[in-house]
Amino acid sequence: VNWLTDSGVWTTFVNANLWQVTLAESTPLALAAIGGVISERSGVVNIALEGMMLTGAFFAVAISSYTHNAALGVLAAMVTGGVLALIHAFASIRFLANQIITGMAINLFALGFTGYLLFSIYGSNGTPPPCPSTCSGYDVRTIPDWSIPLLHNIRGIGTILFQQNPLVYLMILLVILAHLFLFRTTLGLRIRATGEHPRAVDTAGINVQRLRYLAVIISGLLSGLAGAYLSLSVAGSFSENMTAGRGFIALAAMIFGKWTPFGAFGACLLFGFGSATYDTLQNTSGPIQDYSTLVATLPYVLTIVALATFIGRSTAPAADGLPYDPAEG
Amino acid sequence: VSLTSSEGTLERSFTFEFAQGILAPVLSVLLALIVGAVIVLFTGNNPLEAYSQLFQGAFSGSYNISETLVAAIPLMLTGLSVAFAFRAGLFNIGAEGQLFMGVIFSSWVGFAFDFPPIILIPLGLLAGAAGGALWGGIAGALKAWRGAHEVITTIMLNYIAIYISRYLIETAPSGKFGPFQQPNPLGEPVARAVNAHLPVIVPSAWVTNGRLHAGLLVALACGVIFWFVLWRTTTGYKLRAVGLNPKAAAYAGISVGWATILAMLVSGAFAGLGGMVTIYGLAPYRLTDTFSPGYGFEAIAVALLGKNTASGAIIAAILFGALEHGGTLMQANAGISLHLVEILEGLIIFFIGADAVVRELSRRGLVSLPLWTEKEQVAA
Repeated sequence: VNWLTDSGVWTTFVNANLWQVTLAESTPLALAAIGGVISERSGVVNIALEGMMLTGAFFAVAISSYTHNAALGVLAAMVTGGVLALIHAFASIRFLANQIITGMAINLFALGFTGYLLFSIYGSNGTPPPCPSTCSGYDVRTIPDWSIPLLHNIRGIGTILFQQNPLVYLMILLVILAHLFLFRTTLGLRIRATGEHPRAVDTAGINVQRLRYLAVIISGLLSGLAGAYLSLSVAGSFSENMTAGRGFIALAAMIFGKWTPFGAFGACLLFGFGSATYDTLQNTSGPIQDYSTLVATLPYVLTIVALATFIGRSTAPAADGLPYDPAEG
Repeated sequence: VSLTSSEGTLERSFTFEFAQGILAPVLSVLLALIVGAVIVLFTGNNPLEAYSQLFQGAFSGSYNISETLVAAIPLMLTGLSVAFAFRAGLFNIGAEGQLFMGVIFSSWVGFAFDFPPIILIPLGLLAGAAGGALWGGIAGALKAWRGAHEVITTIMLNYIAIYISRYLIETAPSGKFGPFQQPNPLGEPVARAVNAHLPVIVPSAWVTNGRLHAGLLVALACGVIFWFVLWRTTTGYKLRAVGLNPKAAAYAGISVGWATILAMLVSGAFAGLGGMVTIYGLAPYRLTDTFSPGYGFEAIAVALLGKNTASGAIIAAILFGALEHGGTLMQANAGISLHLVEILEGLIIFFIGADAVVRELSRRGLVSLPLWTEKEQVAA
């Protein structure tokens, strides 16, 4: 027990702040991941979550800076994510393109496009600073954390669950809604059927293409929202490649969670825990601090171990990634 | 058993290969340049100025050509890596992690032993290939034995490799040096440099201060190996059969698991070599945080543009190298963001993927091209 306290392990892990940060860090991952779940359940692989998130993050800041209205910023992020998703959907569904190729293309494009706009509009100084109390000029209106009255005072749990950003609460709500949507509504059932056997859905007189457009656009809206969370709630600014691979982590979480919203959310918590641990260890005294970088690999190692042992074969929806040509056979 | 599938056949007619292999990428590049020009125009810049600076930056004078090739070398090797895995039906997003493991292994060999270059460089090459192969092989084995999706395992392995490399060269908060660090004359920690450098292969009479190193020869040799293994050996035939249709291949008696592991080992080795030649070929000749600007990810684009062939990947890598190097000069001389390059790369790949868009334009007579009828699916 002495070893636990002396090494800094105890103070690191039995600490409400760590778990608070875990939930916050998992938020953008979970938003994108449930988008990915919905898109892939309809049969369209969306590897472009990363690019949609990044573009959303940029336009959230740009519009919030222009209008001094964070809600409009969030809206802009979702719309731009949705527009990229529409392009992805158009190529995948209308032109039967290879979804992995167009997805990677959108990621590269988004990286260049946001970097290009950042440089062209804001120059080398970066995006304007957040509004102090009142907005002036092109200050960015950010989304402050919001403690839920009364509940946030509960010891431990209050800090972890009820002292968060509004978008964190929204994320939890959306995970539940996504589950209900996919597994408890007719539309959800149709989307899942489209991902398993589009021909059967088509034969039943349901428009496969329209369902897929819908699912892919939802994933774009959610990824854009994830980007807005990163830039308006967390950073207060946009910087080059600020999503830093979170879209790919979300993709991994989606697979790890076996293409279900709750499963994906669970995996996102694991990855969020990894980054929270890394951040916390940097500020912990004790020998464990020296190994913070190695400890940061733990969630990734755990994911691999889990895949190699008890999770087993990951089974994607049967028609995932396959273009559906109604004119064929 | 006839090895055909809806995705294509093992043998294709020459004209079809030509249309798919040459015309589609060229047209994609042209379309990308047009869309890119619109974006440049909208932000109040002159696209002709941008493109002429980009082109001059990449190709004017022997120094710039040499630098374009320098930028292309790691992309050639990682591009071959991704393409090789694609051929066996595997989507290797892990070239970045394999590149880092190649660097970790080969730079350890490079500073731990003080042999003459003639011995140390081959050892470094072996170590680089082994590091990459190990990392690729883990993903291959997990897929073959446990059915773990290679996309998720390679992403995880990327993070693990990058964190390990960071740990090796960072000074701990307590002040303890990282395992790959040593004090410089002032007592400050620096990563240890390798004891042998790849020779520069352009005479100084042609290029003053040229940096084009022998990594280019390594990359070209790997291109030949890629081609030879896939198209001139039974093993390669089996790998491609698995890539086109694993069920048919298994029915024909090919072990899909074996093919998966082998493909990932070779793929990882190519990427690992890409890391090794960067460390041994370019200053500061040591592992740094920033030695890779994401070669392993750009490699996916290189492989796709190169249609997963050896020559295609090498040409695509040169094009991307030209964009990278030309882009830096374009930014300096014309004040247009280097990010235009990524926009162009993204658009090129988009038009490659959405080749039906190109076909549609062709059908409407907007561009005149032979119609290609078969669709190539690169990933399962």
